[in-house]
Amino acid sequence: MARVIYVQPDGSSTTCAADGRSLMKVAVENLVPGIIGECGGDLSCATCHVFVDEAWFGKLKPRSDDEESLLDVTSEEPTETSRLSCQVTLTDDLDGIVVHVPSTQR
Amino acid sequence: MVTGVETNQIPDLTNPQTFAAGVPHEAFARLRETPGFHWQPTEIATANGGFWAVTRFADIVEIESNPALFASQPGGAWPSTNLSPDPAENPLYNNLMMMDPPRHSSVRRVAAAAFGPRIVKNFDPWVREIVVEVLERIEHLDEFDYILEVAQIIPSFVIARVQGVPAEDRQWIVDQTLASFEAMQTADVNAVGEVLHKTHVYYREKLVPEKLRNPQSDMTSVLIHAAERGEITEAEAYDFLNLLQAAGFETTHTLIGQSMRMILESPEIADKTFRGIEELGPDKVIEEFLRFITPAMFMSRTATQDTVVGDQQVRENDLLNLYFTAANRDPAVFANPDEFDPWRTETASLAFGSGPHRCIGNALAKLELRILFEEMAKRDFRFRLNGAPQRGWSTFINQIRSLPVARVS
Ligand code: HEM
Ligand code: FES
Repeated sequence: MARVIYVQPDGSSTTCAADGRSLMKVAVENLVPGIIGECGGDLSCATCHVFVDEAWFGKLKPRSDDEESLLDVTSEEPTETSRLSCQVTLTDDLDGIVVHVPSTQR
Repeated sequence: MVTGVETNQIPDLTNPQTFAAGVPHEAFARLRETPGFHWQPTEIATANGGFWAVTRFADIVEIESNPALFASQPGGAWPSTNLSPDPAENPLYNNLMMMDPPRHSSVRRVAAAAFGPRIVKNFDPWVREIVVEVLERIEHLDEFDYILEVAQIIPSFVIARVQGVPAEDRQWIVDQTLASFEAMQTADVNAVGEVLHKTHVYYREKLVPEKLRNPQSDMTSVLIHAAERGEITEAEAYDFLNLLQAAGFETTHTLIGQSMRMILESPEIADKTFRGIEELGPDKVIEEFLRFITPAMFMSRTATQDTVVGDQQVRENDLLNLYFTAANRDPAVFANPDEFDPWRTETASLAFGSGPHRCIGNALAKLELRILFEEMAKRDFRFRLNGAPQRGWSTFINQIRSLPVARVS
């Protein structure tokens, strides 16, 4: 099991433990506010946008071209460490990863 | 007095008469309370002789989140259902609404790029221009039909602009949108086909060549460039342009028309609308109109195998009609669901559906109504009813066909 910490815009956070599933799925299953995942991870809705904590961003596999282009349609302006959380799988080497939930994705 | 037996009967959901006096909310409430789903027999456009009427919020969300088990390819909205998986036999094969992943995802991704919330925010100035143009046209009218002069015109102009139709062709494409809407009222398939064919020819021979010469940031330019890059097919691009007219016109027209009818018919709703806008801002008020009106009353899915959902055994190829209009008054989700209350704190409604097919135009539709409210308030436009509103004749859209009004200020 690996843990993931979702941080809300107001600073409150939720820690969830899971493995092998995407950060979007884990968030939706645990009712983390602000991660919607409308398309179920098919990379067509951009409602699973998160800002990955800088310390963790480098540990992730790079974005695909499709993810890159879909980041243009998120509700909040993406940054260098933006990811669509359905594209990030929670593996053991990511135990403790911190991601920030955008305030306008509701 | 109606006897108990009769009131317990569920009216025929395939008959527009059932919806002629209004949405049968009382019947839907009984269906929501009954375990399992209600079977509505019909030979029209079904494989198994009918459809399941799904009315509970949670069941609909579950069904829509699982396209592998509940597919859209056989048809997204009854009676455009029981369609063949063979493109040669299925004229709607390239329509986004009738696709499942992964094909749906690839076309949707392209379309989403032109409709994201940050992009739609930039639509504000030109949507406002359209709204102001429409309001200037009615400024000098003492009496008029709000549906014809406002509710129909704004969404048809907006879609023409989204498609990137040049100014000199705008009235023509708007007329085509209205003509296909009229033809659909008569259920005359040939007439609908004829109008759609005309617009197809227009896209192919005029609009697309124009955008190839002079690309802009409109939907047509976005789609044909995606087609050139091989991300979608040309047929998918054309059918998406048509779908915009089908999906974005009648629904938004209904939202604009029905919200004004509610304001004019009920002083209480009028008061809550104006107070709500002042205290909460327009967005919550618009969300509540959307929930209350639910312009698109249902969408359909088809089971791909035998399964159990909502405590109901369904068979492979069974059609399920997902009644958003019922789910949006599900007391398991909304407190006092039959009350218009912009202050409510519950989750967003199912007015735009859910899951991978959730309405791609939702931010745009809300923007249209918000700007209309803002611009009318600026001009202090006030109306009163000037005759009986007329509902449409549809099992699908919560339609309003006529709303006679007179200006009071
Ligand atoms: C108040 C106005 C509107 C309402 C109530 C509405 C409602 C809906 C609903 C219920 C769906 C199906 C969702 C599902 O299957 O779960 C849908 C899909 C769609 N809507 Fe809207 N809509 C509105 C306005 C618009 C506008 C303005 C546009 C574009 C200009 C638009 C374009 C579409 C498209 C393209 C789809 C198909 C999406 C897909 O299958 O992936 N809609 N809409
Ligand atoms: S869940 Fe839709 S893009 Fe990630």
